[in-house]
Amino acid sequence: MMPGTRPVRFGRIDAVLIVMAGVGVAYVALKIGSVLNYDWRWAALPRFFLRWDDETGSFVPNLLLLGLMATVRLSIWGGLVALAAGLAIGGMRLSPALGLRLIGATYVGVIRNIPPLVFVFIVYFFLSTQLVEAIGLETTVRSLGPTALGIVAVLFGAPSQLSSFLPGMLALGLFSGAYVAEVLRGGVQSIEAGQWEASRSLGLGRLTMLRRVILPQALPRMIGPLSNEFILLVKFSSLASLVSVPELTFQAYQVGVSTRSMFEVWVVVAGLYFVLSAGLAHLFTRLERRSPLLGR
Amino acid sequence: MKRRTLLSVGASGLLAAFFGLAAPASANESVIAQIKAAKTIKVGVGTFVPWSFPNKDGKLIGFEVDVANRLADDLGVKLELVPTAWDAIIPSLVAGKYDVIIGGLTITEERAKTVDFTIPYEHSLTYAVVNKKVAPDITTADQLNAPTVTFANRRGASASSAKYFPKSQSLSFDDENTQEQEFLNGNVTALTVSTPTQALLAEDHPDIVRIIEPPIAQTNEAFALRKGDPDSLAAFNDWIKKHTDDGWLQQRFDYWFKGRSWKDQVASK
Repeated sequence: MMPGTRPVRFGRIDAVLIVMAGVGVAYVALKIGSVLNYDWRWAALPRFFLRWDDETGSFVPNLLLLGLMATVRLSIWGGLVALAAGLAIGGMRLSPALGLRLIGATYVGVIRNIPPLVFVFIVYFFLSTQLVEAIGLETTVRSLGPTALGIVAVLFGAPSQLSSFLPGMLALGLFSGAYVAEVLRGGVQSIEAGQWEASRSLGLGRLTMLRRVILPQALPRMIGPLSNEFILLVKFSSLASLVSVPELTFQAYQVGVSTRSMFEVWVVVAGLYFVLSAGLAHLFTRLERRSPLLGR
Repeated sequence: MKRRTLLSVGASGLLAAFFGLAAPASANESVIAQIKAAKTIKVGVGTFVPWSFPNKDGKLIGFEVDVANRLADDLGVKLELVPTAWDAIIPSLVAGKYDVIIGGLTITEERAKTVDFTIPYEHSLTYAVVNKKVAPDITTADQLNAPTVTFANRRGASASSAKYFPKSQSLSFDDENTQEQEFLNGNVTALTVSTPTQALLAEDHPDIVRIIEPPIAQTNEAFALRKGDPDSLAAFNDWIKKHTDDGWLQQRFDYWFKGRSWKDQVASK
């Protein structure tokens, strides 16, 4: 029989495992109920997703939904920054120039060996103030007209929070960029020497070699690890809550404090992160399967 | 090769110059002047009930919010509230993320080393509350000063049990919710909290909470500003004095801390 083609059969072991799992879950739920002096108040939560606004006569997103949108924005922009940084640093690590290789190796070495939270604090408190002042962010934002402000609001979230959103996204992107650089480097270096030699013997320049021969073979190998990094980025975005970016974890904390229903909020938020990450994982798996060079 | 070396050296030189020039230019201007020029005041607040917290519609309400709104009105500028994690509230002020902290920040010597405080605009009392089920026989503050008693403290809070009850043990938590949950679960004996948290706890859980009288300390809360800004300090002090004298601050304090009419704006049972 070919591996993976065995028909699925429901046997005795499956039944035993399912019953044990059910008993385990029920036991945990009962224990939580008796040990924790807590009365569950799930009804308080739905209004924090969508609330009825009398003025506009429609449903308007409330804190948790706004936080979810901010997390999505952070992840997308952080991912773009990570890709850009990863390409740059990965390119540096593969370059024939020693100086560039050293810079790349230092960047990766430093960032991979610091905890992400420490890095986020460093970027937010030390670098961001310099950057925000240098590009005159506050004054630019204040002088924008309503359409421009609307575009900024959709892309980045509330303009008044821009000065914490940008450093947060930068910190996440630069942090993830180190790991993306390593994935890129590993992918390119995994192409066997024969490909490099053959292209060199055909007289291809370095850039053409990379573009036409090496990268098309390396990219499908990198989709798996890259998607891994992106999913991790989505979860690391929760660290931005400690630097006042109003993303999901931050809003969860706000809602939890004001409704005093901390557990319900955390469970719901964990569920939201799960849906987000699992959705992304599914997307990336489909992307991997459809890749033409995997020969399937 | 030579051209590339020249290019890379030039690029790194430019980068260094960029970072050198990007030193904060606003170091010399007073905060009040900056606020008036930008026509906006950015205020850092924490998240505590009833100081500053979101209501059912996600809008920030609370004593601090009222104070910040009144301050902005009196200065004739727009208000931007920046809710911040409590651990990061002073570092964010020092890094320039907002102009002033109005967050029920208690004046302590430790904090005064990094920020400048105005005159107090509010006074809180610190209470000890005991879990009746865990320690039914503790009724006075002296009994709490024993090695068998464990407190749950909030990291970064000025009301720390180690100061008042040096013989007791303590556990630290990040925020109010986790600290209180530990107490309600019975894993710690007592808490030190500021008004009106002790009253709110007793109202929500009358069978568990016992408030120990008298309060163990009185604290002063003030606005916090970056150091080296006497003009702004004077301006804020004048404002606080004006509204202490006309009774507005006391009236708002009574509404939020003594009364409970704001509770229907909050999602609860």
